[in-house]
Amino acid sequence: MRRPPASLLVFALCLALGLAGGLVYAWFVAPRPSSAAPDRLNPVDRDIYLRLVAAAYAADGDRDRATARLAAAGPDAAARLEALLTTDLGDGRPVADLAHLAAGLGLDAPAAALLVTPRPLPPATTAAVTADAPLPTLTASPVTVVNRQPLCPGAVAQQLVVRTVDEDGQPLPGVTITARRTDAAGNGATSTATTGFAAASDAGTADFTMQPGAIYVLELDGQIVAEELQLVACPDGGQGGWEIELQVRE
Amino acid sequence: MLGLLLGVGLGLLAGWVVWPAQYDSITPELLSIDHQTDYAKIVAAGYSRADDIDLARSYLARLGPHANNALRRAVDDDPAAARLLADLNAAPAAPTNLPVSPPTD
Repeated sequence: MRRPPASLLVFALCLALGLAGGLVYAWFVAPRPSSAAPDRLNPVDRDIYLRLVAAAYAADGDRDRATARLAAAGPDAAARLEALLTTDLGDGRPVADLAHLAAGLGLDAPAAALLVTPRPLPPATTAAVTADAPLPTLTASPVTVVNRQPLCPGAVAQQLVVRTVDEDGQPLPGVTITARRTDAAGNGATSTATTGFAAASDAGTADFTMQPGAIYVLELDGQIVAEELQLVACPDGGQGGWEIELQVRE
Repeated sequence: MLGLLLGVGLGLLAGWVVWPAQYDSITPELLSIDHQTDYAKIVAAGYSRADDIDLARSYLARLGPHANNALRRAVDDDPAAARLLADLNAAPAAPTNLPVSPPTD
């Protein structure tokens, strides 16, 4: 049997070495730029991503962007979102953002449906005006500010706390409050919170963290209920927030 | 020598075109550039609500060495990212690997 010439063996050896080197370089040293979307994230980072998407949606209320971000997280993102919601509920962690996202995007998440119940306000009534008729009286607003006072209790001072009660003075859970903020530079941002999820408060309370220099406007179902809210000076020299109590008529 | 060059060429072709590197179960630092930028925007939006600079910093740190550039790209069209970047620069140094140096890409 003839042995292959030595030069052929050397060629084959060099070819194999070059192939291995080329592969190592292409895979590990200088791989092609990633085109990976969040659906490729590991489970831990994917959960973090979903929580961040929920927080961002709560902050900016941009439904289209939240939908796109959720889609980028993979086809099972909605299921994962609900699993997170259920887990957080079981662990006693705040779930307002996740529930708000699930409800806002109309995801099939029973837990979210239970947590975020839309509470539409009654439409404003109108009265026909005729020449002989007396002038119409103003229709009472469905939302009344019953209390508005600075909040200087120390640790939670820089909070905008909103309490909603019904006509009997009972706390109203599931009411979505919007806080529009304009900072000193004129930049605006919107946050939403749903009553019933504020830590250490009753079922009718929602809260926001207030930023120094920012001016807040509170809205409920598109109706402005309080304006010109900003941090106030407290007797202890610190800065305090506000406590607003709203009575919502159904 | 010819075998070595041919092998390297074939290896590069295989590694870049035929069987390119797969990105599965990755960390945020291996997301595409666009998704890294969007990740930074999401963190900034969350920060605009929670105002927790340390939490925002820890989330951004998951972008690894790309955090700084991702946030600076996000600043271009996102006021919340601009605010987060300003606050990160103003905040006291914290044990994080998030640089706030000028962009490099």
